[in-house]
Amino acid sequence: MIKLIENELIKIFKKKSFYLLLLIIIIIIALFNYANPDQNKIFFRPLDFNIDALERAFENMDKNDKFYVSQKLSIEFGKLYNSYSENSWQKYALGEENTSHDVQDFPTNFYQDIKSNLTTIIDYEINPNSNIQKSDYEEAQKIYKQYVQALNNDDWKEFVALKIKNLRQKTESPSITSDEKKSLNIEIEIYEYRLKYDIPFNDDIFNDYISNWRSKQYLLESCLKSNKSDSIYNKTIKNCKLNVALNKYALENKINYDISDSAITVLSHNKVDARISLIRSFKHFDIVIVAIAIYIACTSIAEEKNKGTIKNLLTKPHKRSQILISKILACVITIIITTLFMILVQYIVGGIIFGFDSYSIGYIGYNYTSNSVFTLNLFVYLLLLLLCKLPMYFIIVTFCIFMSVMNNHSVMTMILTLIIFFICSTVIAQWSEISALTPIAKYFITNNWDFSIYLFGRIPDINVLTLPFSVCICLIYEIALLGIAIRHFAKKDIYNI
Amino acid sequence: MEVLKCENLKKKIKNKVIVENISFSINSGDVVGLIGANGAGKTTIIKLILGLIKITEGTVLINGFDIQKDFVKAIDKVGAIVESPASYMYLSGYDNLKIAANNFKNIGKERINEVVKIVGLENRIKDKVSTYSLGMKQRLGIAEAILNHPEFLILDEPTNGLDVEGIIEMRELIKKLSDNGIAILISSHNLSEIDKVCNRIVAIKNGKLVADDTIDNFKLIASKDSTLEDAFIKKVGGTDID
Repeated sequence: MIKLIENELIKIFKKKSFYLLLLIIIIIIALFNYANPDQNKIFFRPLDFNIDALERAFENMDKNDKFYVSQKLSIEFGKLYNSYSENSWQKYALGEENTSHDVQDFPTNFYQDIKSNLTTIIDYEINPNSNIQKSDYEEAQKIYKQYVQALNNDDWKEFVALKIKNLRQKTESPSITSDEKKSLNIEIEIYEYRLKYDIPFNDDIFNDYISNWRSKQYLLESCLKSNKSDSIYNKTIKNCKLNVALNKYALENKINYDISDSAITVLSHNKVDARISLIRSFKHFDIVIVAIAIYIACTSIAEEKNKGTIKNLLTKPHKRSQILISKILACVITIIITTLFMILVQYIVGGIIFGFDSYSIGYIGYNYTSNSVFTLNLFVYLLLLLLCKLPMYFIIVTFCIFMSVMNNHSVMTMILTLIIFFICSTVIAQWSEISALTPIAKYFITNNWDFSIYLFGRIPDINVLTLPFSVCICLIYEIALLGIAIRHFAKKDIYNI
Repeated sequence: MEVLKCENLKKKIKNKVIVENISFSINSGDVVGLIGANGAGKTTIIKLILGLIKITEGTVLINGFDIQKDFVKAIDKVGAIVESPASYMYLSGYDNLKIAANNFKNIGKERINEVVKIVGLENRIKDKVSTYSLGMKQRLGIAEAILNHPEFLILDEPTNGLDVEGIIEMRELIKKLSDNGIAILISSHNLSEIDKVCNRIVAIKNGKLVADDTIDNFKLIASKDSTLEDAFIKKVGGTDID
């Protein structure tokens, strides 16, 4: 068998077309890195409030209008906001207050403490139907003045310390609900992080992390409270936990680049570097590797038939099953080598375009079992990913060999396999997330063949799947495809070639 | 020693009988010519012997091993060129032989170099097969067929594409191999070559075996001093006078 595999590898590696494919890989990687689609190139800068327009609208409003107070709030808050210069920390601090993070069934407004107090003041002063007590109004005035003082003192730490103090006081209120207390504690933790890790209000990646942490934390609390258990909620909960942990880790370690390994950028100020491009290489170039795998596997039998060398192969002292298995193993070995080549090319190209410095930082991941962040050598991480993808490559190769044995049209086999792969990766993957289809979807091979969905304790999108189940499904498909291919190939008559 | 034994071989595809009642044997040292008109069933018989197509009825024993039940043992000491030699065109002649050698135990560089010398391809063996002439491809096919020291050799049109010198060398090679006890089955339309190298004839007509005899006895079918060609026309090519 080893000699048979050696023969197959000689046939593959001595073909010019194989090196043409490697050249195509280099070109695709170079172009992709040069275009750098992951890098966010559009930055949203919030504009100053248009006070004149707000005041004109306010003049025409009736005092009993339900938006009367909020309109006045916008004016007063807007005046405060506009009074500070562009790019000042004060503007960013007030801008943070002005960004909404509403979620279902969970209070999220405690970071808007200035607005909250200003609303109390305005409501008391201008609302004829106000329920605000005088003591509450005086307290709100005092707190608001303290905030304005802190803003004018140009000391962001004093401002943050004031926020923490006021929020802590609220937690001690007897009327507070448990959800409100939870929300307050989230905000207190966030502001404490600012102080502890020296993160001023600014338009940078650290503030992106804080904003992302805040929104994901609230979303997590909302999902946990809903107590639903379908796959969409599970996926959301998983994603929120991951983001909260990674964002906190990034702040603790002052990591000024995007540490998510998602293919889609989530932060405005992400800096795509060589490291993150290397980590995302499987996500970016998986389809290329699969296409190469399909080409190599489909031509493996088809070319032997077309050129007549199949009769040389079948008149040697080997069982036909051994011949098929050796072809499958040789194709998988070739795919492994091609993938390693892809990683190497990405390493070099990424380093040339973005610089090699970022490679000194490893992969930063989240362990869902221990709920902790960990670091791992970049190449160890990529090798782990490759191992996890091996079942997928095995099954794709076996399927192609199976199709090639059943028919003589190699081009049709290649196209058909690509189409099936594409449909399974997109349409079937989407349908599989629908709860009603889960009992059927869990048996689809494409939902089971990528073991990276279980890496580091991850829970797959289809939450009924487990690693042992996926292993069984993969084995069943592999054995069935291989068994049918061997049976058909063993009985096949070799006629005019 | 009986190297090949075919008994009541039959091949049927759907409802059409391609060959039937084919029974003959070949012993060590025999050089048997398989002759017949185009479409008579010669290549079908060769493919049945080699296991390239499934036998409908009958048996094929090579060195006592049934080709259907013990394929690996049966085919181990067999070398063959079927229809035309097929090589990997993008590889060199040497790489093609290396791939062939890998299918057998104990066939290394020395044996490869030896067969290259036997077929006279020393100067071109490192070149890609796509640059070979038809004759060179034929020589390469023969080199591959004799690589594993076969006890039974099947050659389908072995002189195809060879020049006069090549044909003479092929004749001498066949004689040398048979003198060493190798059983050889040659399928060819070149009756003069068959006459010169073979000691026996198996003749096929319309999928049936019509003669299995020595060359001399086969010639007597036409007349006492007839050529092989005369006998072929009488027995295989047209109406059987007998």
